[in-house]
Amino acid sequence: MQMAMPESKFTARRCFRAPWLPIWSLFLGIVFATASAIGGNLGNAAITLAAFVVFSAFLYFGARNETIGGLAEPRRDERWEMINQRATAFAGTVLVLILVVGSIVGLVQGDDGSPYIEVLGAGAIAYFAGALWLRSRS
Amino acid sequence: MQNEIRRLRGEQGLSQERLAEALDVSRQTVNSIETERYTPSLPLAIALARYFDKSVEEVFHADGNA
Repeated sequence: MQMAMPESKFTARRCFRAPWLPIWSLFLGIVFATASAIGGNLGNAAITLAAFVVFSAFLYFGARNETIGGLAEPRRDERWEMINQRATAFAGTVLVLILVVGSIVGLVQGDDGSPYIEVLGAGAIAYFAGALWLRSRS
Repeated sequence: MQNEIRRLRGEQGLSQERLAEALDVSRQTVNSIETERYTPSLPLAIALARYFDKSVEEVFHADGNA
């Protein structure tokens, strides 16, 4: 005997109908392109906007694919939450490695390691603040 | 963690899509649980067991024993 369960709101079709990520991507493209245009670099603004438009279209029309749909879905299920958290942690680790290498290369070249060291420091502070906050909630 | 989801679903002639809808997860998540590539959270494991009117221990086997 099956128990009554709530109706699902998570379907591939819904992923397709809730393109918040393509919209956000397009918004970022407009912001970056506008910033470039204000800075006087119209060529760079056009290239930036075109790149973001292509990426947004890729996200929108690719939403039926599970990976893209999972990224675009505003209300993910628990498996996608896990994937998102692990992917974010992986990206953060890669970013930290880039910052460490960049700061070391800068120091070897006689620079003060800026801006890598500052960003690395900000990341470390954010990590410890996040750990403290999450620890207090668990 | 081994589980009996595929067998129980097959016995009821239930599609992955329908089970996913009932549990409010994606079809791919049901597939990942069935193929033991993803271990569900305790709330989802309980929901799965309740759906099939079984206990969690009857559906999931932490030690690999059926």
